[in-house]
Amino acid sequence: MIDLLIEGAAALRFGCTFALALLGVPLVFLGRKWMATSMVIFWLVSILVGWARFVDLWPGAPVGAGLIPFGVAIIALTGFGWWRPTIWSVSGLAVGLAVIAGWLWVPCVGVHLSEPLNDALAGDRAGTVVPLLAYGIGVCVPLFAAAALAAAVPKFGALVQRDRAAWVGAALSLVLAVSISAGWYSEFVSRFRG
Amino acid sequence: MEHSTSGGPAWSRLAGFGVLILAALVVAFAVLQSTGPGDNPTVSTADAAPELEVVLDATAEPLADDANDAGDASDDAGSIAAMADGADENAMTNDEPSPKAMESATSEVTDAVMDEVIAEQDAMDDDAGDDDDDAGDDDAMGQDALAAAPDDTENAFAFAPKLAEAPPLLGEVGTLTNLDGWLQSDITSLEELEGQVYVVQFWTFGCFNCKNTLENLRRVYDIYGDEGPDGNGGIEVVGVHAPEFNWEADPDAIADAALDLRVNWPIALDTEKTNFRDWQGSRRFWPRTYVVDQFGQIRFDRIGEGAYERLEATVAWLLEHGPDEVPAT
Repeated sequence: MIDLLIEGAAALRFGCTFALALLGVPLVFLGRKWMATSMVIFWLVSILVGWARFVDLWPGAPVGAGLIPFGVAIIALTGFGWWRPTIWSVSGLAVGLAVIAGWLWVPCVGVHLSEPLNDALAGDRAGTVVPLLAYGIGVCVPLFAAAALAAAVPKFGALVQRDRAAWVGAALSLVLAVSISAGWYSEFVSRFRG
Repeated sequence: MEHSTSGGPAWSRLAGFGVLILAALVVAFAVLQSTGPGDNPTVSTADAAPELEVVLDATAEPLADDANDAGDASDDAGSIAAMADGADENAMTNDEPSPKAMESATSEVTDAVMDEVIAEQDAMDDDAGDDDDDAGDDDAMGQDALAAAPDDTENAFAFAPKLAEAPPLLGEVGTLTNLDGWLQSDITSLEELEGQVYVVQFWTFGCFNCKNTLENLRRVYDIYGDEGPDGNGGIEVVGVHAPEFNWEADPDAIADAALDLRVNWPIALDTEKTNFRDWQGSRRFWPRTYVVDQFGQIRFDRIGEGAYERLEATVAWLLEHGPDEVPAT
């Protein structure tokens, strides 16, 4: 499990994995005082959606015009979370972003992640959940770290919970929504990670 | 109420610091892992059956070296084939590589590499205290060294990892559609490989994990490609290049990467990722490797890195048993 967790964190160097974590970044700015909760929701839901896909319980991501609803959903949920910040709206945004992240995720599979995924391919659905969640913790380490920093350092917490920070989060959400809808998300990710 | 509000942030801060420390530890281990031996794309010893280690190490070690160092690690005839591979890299300066060009380059071992072969052989002879009459004869030694390589390849079945039983039937292989073309290939469709054992790998040259599998795929291709170990027909490898990013979609960039990565098998350009999606359905990964038997049945399906011995064992089993013994359905 520790190997999986570390492999997940190390895989953030690669665009295929970074694409998953990047969708959680708006929550740093829009999560407000529920940032930690939203990060946990993001981790759980995105990995569970990914797991459902990998065990053939969830369809593959659409392409072309089929991606437009993803962008619309992100904009709608972001608008709600930004305009009326409550634990429900922030959690809703976290769930929405996580579902899309897990749906679009195409992993580059290393030595440790390959084992549970191949087990899943062989029919072991349940046995794949925990290893994937461990891998997901590694992938979400920067998000957890941001939430922990906000809790540990009140000044940082206050900084990211300001209205101006919410604007940053909303703008980032908008960029992500447009890039996903237009089919440019991979290109957007590649600006950060090759 | 006051007590609870003043205690809340303290707990929260403590928990925050705890998570931060854990996160820092994870990142430190991740950085260590990414700069440590985990990056070495050779056969994983953890993945190898103990009795196979000697054989696998003998061939894997030189492959991990730079071409200029190709002669450094050779102790046996098996590694000489890999040194010829190193020469292959030296010879691959042609801007328009093709499998045939690479093949001929492989056979034309450069003087520099031959010198290293000779020097290595000299050192071995000196160690043994054996005064070999041919020791000073570069050409004769070179011929001897090269002659040893096919013998080792011919014994590939004997040294190959063994399957306890026939590889499972995992479904019929698909076709490749909507391709953007082929690179370094004499074939233009999988149908042309009917009756032959072949490996299909979905990869992209920018994918770290895909690159980690190439050394082993090349090794299998070197041993079981062309006419095969017994001369009765070998395997083909088809790399289906499904780019993740636009910069990976340029055919020139792919050709350059193929040279750099010493990918000398046919590459199908799946630029739109049509086949990547069609073949894998909702379970899409980089890399994904299949072995297809003589009847178009998938007999091996691997997500990601690893299982290199099982891949080789599957190929060896299918080749060794031939179409008469391999069930058609």
